[in-house]
Amino acid sequence: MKVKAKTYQEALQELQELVLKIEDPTSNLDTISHDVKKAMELVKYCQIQLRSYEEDIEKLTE
Amino acid sequence: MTLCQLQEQIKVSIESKNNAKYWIRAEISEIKNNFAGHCYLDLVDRPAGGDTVTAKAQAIIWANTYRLIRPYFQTTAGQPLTKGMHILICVQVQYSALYGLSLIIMDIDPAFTVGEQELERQKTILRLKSEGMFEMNSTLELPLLPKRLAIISSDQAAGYRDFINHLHLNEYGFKFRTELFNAPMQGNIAPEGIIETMDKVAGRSDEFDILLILRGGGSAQDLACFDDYNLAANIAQFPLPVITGIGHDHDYHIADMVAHTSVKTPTALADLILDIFVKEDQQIIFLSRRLSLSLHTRLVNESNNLKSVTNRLLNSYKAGIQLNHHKLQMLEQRVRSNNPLLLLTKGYALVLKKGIKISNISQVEVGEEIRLIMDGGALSCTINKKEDESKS
Repeated sequence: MKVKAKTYQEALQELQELVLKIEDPTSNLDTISHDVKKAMELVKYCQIQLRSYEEDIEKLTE
Repeated sequence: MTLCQLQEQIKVSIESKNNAKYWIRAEISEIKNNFAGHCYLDLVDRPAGGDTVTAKAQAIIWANTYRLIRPYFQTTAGQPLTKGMHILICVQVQYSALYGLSLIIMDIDPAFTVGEQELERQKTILRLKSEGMFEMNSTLELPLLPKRLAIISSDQAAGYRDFINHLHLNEYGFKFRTELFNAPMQGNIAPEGIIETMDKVAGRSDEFDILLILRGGGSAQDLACFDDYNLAANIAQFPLPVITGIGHDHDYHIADMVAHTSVKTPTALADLILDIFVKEDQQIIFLSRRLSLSLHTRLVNESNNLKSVTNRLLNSYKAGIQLNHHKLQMLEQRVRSNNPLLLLTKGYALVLKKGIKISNISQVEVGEEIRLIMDGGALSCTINKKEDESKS
């Protein structure tokens, strides 16, 4: 089943939350590498969103 | 009497009683230029802007006057004489046996027409406001990333090409989908043509994020259509946010006022859209910098924490060792100081009875054997005499 592509807004919000989490000195260090990886993926995803057509994004997330 | 004589009598009667020059206000209901350069007009009066015509007369601007009046009027009023226009003119009454009554136009006051049009504009604005439409389109929320752009313009317009080039060839690599909907962008037919085209876009409104209406600059006459009430009402009620880029700096039309956003030129419109994307792009770059900075800070902090824990561990370990070392020394000291052999070297002797150390005289009796251990060896002794101090 094809999952609906994440909107730019959703991705941006998730990214903002992750950055806040990583900035929080009390957050768990065990998950930080996972969080950072995920955040970097979101950065890339958002930048692609700005530079592509809807169809391209759907193809990317198929 | 002939018809001619009657007409002559009427002519004398009319012209003798109306022989002055009169400044009159009227609306042009028809206007024609003939091959000889004369201009023929039908003038009407419509009280309170209604449809009922209460007076009508034909008027002529002779070619020699028209040559002067025409450029003067066009420069001052910003547009040529046209049907529907309200004018203030200086006329002389003329009666011809062949053509009947005519008003000969001697002069015209363009300032009146400009004022009338401004008045008309103000009326349109007030009407849109009273109908609650003036702010209507601007209450629509602009999508976060407007990528799918419906454009109403003319593919022949320089403004459209400027816009497309500026938008698609942007230096950031942002991509947009644009679709042009051709419409007449000037003159009397423009409002109706644009509205028809808007209906087409509205029918596919889920395929677009915003509607752009754009054309390059033009004369006041060309752009007057953007003050049209119906066009403004359609823009106001359009289901998508409408952004206008009509004309240049000095042009501000009612269509601009009721639109969601208006900019001066098509190029500025492209910049407006690009800026939205640039802002987002910068935000993402900013977030990714914050990310790497905070990651760095976290790692430095954690490594410092680790160092400090290690140091504490080492220190306490060292302290523990020292403490033990000290204890050991004390013990050694105690052992040393209590070593009976040490006492022997100082001249003391140890007394054993049957191999058991004794320390009191009551533990031995006369005749019993004891061993004296002293530095260098042991002596076996027999007790000859007891001097018990406690009994003396």
